[in-house]
Amino acid sequence: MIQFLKKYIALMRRSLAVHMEYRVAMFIWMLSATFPLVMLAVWLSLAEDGPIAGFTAGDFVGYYLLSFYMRQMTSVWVAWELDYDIRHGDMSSKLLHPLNPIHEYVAFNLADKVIRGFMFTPVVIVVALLAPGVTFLVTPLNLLFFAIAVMGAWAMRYFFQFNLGLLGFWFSQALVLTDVFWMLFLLLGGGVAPIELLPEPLRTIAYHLPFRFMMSFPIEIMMGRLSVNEILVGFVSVAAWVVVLATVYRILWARGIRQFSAFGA
Amino acid sequence: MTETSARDNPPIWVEHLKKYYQVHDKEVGLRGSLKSFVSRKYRDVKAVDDISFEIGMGEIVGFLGPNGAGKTTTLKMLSGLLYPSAGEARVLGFKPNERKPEYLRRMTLVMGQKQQLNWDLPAIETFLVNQAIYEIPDEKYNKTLTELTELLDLAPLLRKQVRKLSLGERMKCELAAALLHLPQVLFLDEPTIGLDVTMQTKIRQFVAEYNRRYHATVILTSHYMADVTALCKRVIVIHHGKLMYDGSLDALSARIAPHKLVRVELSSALNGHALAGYGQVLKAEGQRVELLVPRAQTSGVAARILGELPVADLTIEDPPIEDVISRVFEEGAMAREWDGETEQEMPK
Repeated sequence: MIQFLKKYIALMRRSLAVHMEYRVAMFIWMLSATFPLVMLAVWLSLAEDGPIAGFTAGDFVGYYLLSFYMRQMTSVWVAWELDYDIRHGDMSSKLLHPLNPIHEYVAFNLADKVIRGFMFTPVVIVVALLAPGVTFLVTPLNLLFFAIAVMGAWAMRYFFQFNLGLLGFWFSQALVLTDVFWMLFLLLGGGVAPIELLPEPLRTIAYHLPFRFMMSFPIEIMMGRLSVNEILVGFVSVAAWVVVLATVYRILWARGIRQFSAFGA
Repeated sequence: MTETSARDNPPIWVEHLKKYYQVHDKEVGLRGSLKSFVSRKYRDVKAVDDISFEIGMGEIVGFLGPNGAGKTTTLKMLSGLLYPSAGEARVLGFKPNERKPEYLRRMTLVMGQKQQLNWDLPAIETFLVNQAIYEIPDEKYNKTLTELTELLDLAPLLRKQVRKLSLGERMKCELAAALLHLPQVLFLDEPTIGLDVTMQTKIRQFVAEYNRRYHATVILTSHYMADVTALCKRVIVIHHGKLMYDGSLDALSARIAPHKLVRVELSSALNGHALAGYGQVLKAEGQRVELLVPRAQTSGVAARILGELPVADLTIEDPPIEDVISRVFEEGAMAREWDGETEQEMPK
């Protein structure tokens, strides 16, 4: 266990150094996630004449502030890394290490989250305090729930995309699927509009699909829109999804490596 | 595990190893693309076709063969990246393709055309990651790093961004990164590719020294015969996936080119005709003469030349090993040699 932790620390140290090397590019990528701000502007102009389905102007500010934060803290690009490594043979180098390559990828992503966490958590706190009408449910328990939900959202997005990326072992154009995922994620995860405001039957569908847990669920917690009971039920769903996605990962990885070592490496 | 101990000697053991690929041929152009979309024609490519060999502890063996002969495919099977189509390989008692961490911690594969160092960071950052991944204790890591730094002159390179290093400097760092865990088995695939002669020599000396210090077993492929002649007493020649020769470099040279090259510098010109009695005249330009003489007769012929001709200088050489090897790869040359037929002319 200690050896394993040492490996993660070393991998994350190097990953941080790489991210720092590209600090300008990283900063631009971070700020390019401005879609939530555009959506906010639209909703604010609509909410001028009064609340829409229970959402005041302040609620919209709070919602899209958290939406922005969620996109930062759960950003994933591993499908592109896998695609590159499979095509260019870098996967072979990683397979020579006595450590499952997924840990190298995860460490790279987590290092990025450390940086973004330090950058954007204060921003979110300051804006939430200064902007009028933003009401978050700030209790220690709720903050803990929120933190767990964010981690769950990250895990689900990460495994989802990792699995899509692994399809690159079989198909050279597996990346197209990430676009499909992205559309569904934005629409049914709460990226375009709060799920509560979606028209039927989209709303019901969204509540039954995993995308909500990758974006909307933590926001709903922070905005105090869920009861403890609903939160706990949500956690069970998240855990179940993570188990399913991790199982799919295990199967795809084992088969993919077999495929790779038959043809590709 | 009993299996391991039973096969632990020799460290590399390969039997009837095969790797066949199915590839589809595509005809040129749009019509060809459509055709291959509707019905693909597959054919088998025999990248490695039934090869067997054993390599003993501490040996350095050169893998020779033209591009596409199956050298890299064999190394990839031995390092666990490729799954054999048939046959078996054991390295240090392990089945490579099971990719057990205990195996991966004891071997390394260095590919001259691939790199594991992170392009944007100094090499030392990758070393530290490898220390953790290979679970190398601090003390051992520091000792090994000091040794490698000294052997490869790494001191001024370790803290420079890898992308700012020259090709040769990068290769030295790649080797160090691949050897920090002191593997007992090294697969070196073209480690000197693209390097200048000085750097090639340094890498060569390093491989020899590593082999000596740690008694490591090494398989080396290279396009530079100098690498092979300097490092490998034994060579394995692969062509079209088949093993053509396995034995000493000297014996290969003797078998393929059963002649020596005698160069004579005369003090006065002779006509070519008078020389024919000594051997096959390759060149007779003024006072410079080159003769091809059967190995067994070399010393006799040399003595006669010295006695009978006005000689200013005389040298006896083996034909260049490049020529010998290229002969091996000329289709059929090998088979004819094996039949005992003598070649009449030197390849040039």
